[in-house]
Amino acid sequence: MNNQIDRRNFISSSAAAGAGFMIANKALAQAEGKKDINIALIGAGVQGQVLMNAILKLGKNSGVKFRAVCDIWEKGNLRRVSRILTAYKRYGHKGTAYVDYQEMLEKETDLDAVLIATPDFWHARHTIACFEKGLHVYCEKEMSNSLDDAKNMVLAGRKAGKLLQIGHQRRSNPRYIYCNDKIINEANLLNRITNISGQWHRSRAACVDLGWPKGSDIPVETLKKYGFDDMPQFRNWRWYKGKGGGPIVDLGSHQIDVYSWFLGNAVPSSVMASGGVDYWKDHEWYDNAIAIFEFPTKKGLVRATYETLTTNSSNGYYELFMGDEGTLLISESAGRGEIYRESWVEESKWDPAVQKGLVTLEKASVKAETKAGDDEVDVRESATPALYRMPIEMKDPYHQPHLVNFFESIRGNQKLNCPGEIGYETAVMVLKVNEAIAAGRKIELKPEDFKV
Amino acid sequence: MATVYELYISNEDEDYARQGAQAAFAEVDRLESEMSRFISNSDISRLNAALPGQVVDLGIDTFECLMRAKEMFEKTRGAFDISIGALYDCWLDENRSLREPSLDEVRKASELTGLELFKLDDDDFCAEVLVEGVKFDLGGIGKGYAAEKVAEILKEWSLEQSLVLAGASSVLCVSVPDGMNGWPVRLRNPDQPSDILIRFDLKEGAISGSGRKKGQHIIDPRTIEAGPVEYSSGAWALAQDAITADALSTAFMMFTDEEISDYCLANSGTAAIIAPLDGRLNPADPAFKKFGQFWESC
Repeated sequence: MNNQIDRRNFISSSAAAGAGFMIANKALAQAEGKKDINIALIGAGVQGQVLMNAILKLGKNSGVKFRAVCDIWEKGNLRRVSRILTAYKRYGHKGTAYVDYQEMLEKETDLDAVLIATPDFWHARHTIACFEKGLHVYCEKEMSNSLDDAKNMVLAGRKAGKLLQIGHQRRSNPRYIYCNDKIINEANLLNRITNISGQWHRSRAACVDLGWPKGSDIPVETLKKYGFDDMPQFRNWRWYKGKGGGPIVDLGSHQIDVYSWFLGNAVPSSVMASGGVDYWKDHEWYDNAIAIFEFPTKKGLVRATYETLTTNSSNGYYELFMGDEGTLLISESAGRGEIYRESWVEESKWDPAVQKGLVTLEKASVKAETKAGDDEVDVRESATPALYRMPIEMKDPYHQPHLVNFFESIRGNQKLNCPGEIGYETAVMVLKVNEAIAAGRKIELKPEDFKV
Repeated sequence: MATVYELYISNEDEDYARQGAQAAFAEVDRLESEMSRFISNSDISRLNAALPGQVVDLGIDTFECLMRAKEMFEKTRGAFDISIGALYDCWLDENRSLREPSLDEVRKASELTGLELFKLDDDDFCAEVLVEGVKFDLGGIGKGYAAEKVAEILKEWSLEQSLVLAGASSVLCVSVPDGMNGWPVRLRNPDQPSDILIRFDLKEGAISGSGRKKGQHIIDPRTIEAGPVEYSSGAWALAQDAITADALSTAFMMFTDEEISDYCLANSGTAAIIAPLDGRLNPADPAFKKFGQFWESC
């Protein structure tokens, strides 16, 4: 990337954009000798481990201490995570292992907060049980596979007077915050956004069913107790109705949440969609889904498309915001961020944003040089839009800023970037996609459908 | 890393072996996101961006890998060095062609090279860079580290009878399939790939190869001011584990024959093959050198 600003400037610009919390907060927790936030993890699978590692990398002075971990897969997830936490004993972490979350909540009496990374259909029960014990909750998306349950999670949090952060981690990613605050709002480089598109495509190889090592099976009675028919269903719950919601929920949710956020937390007035179990065998949820939303905004209607595939990974994952003067392409994937000026828009219009350091010009537009009054016309290649970059990089593990935002909100220093109410709006958007596919028709939505 | 991993697994249940392989590949992806210098929020990128005095908290894997890198730096007396980024920037231009650096540039590169330039805190899984601008690259050892982690997963899945290939240049034998003497391995002449230098059965441990492609330059971090060294066109190292083999094949490209011979004598289970600079080779060619006891039983 050209015109990269140096490290010191990066720190100041990212702090200005709302990042850099980590450095500040570590110093804060250390300097003020604050009471530790004691946490537990329920659900120690891949996502739970991602959250745990992001927290461990906050270091020994983070002021956040693991006390316990709970997972029903004793010989798999639970063993692995408990072992890692034990290795971090010197940081003050403890990996007391539980299979039963109720037993954990009874015995671990000094908890302040719980991270929940279980299958979607367990989120509401786990979250509400934690609120009933007076604990704050960080719950992975999707909030729930049922909107009634998602609503109950928000209500239980309000009743307990405790925080509920939903794991749409892009909401705390400094690059995304920068795009929303600086590029879209402050500099208004896109002008009126008319369309959004986005995708998360994965290769067939990335989507084959997960197995488990011989001898590590969960006892059948435990599986049944926790709502699973057998090990294959436990390992691949995302594909089953009543358990997860398929790729539109697993992946699309993150990105459709950003659609809404960048439109000023707008909610759509309708959704139509197509999808099906076209490729994979023995799956219940749609292995490909394509959705179209209509978002009424103050500046006018925005049409947004979203697509997720499990057979071809072409172009990976990104979100593309198209305005009548510019385009923003952003992805959580490291380094992907491009801003294009429409060829007809004069360079001078974007110069103030460049002078302020909000964006840097990487490649100027190539334009025909015919001027008004010329009696001949230059004929050459089509004009290409100028490419600009944002002077900000994601330097922390992806989920770390969102977790820090949760912990700092518990300490009263920040406000949640994705409270349950916002998570609910996103849950409505993606669960309605599945509903629209099943119904085979456009579903109209009212603003009150998004309220708890 | 940014490399391709392949697994050979001997098991009667193909679907089960495939699922185990999938779990192993997922581990490689995870390690890549922790250790790649091409990923802006990896541990290594965070370490490379850190200012002197700033403590960088690392994941266990990166920490372990850095510990092993330090150990191999010491064992090879500085020939294997993960801090050689500045050194290469000094001697090579953007196209990786040789350039003539000024004395001042060489001095500066030398100040930014060496593992004494960072501290690893054994108690706290963190590192601290002591000089600004040191560039770490786990490329030479991360591959082997990931291969070892893949082997752990395969063992967990009871798929021990397997072979891990990392980027075609490192091979780790987890264990030998029933009825076989070992995993058949062949080494080719880097200058003439149609020439097979040697074939043998790998019964345990790992072998790693380093080669110098045409026009490629190798700088010895122990003699920075001397510029590129040219001892051999290829070096292979055998060792008990893939991390050691990876580090040694890099170091052996810079070692003299005597140094390699001494190393193999002092470290049992280590062996080497060195291909000389130019020309067609065959195993009978005296220029094709073997070191270590391993070859006596081969």
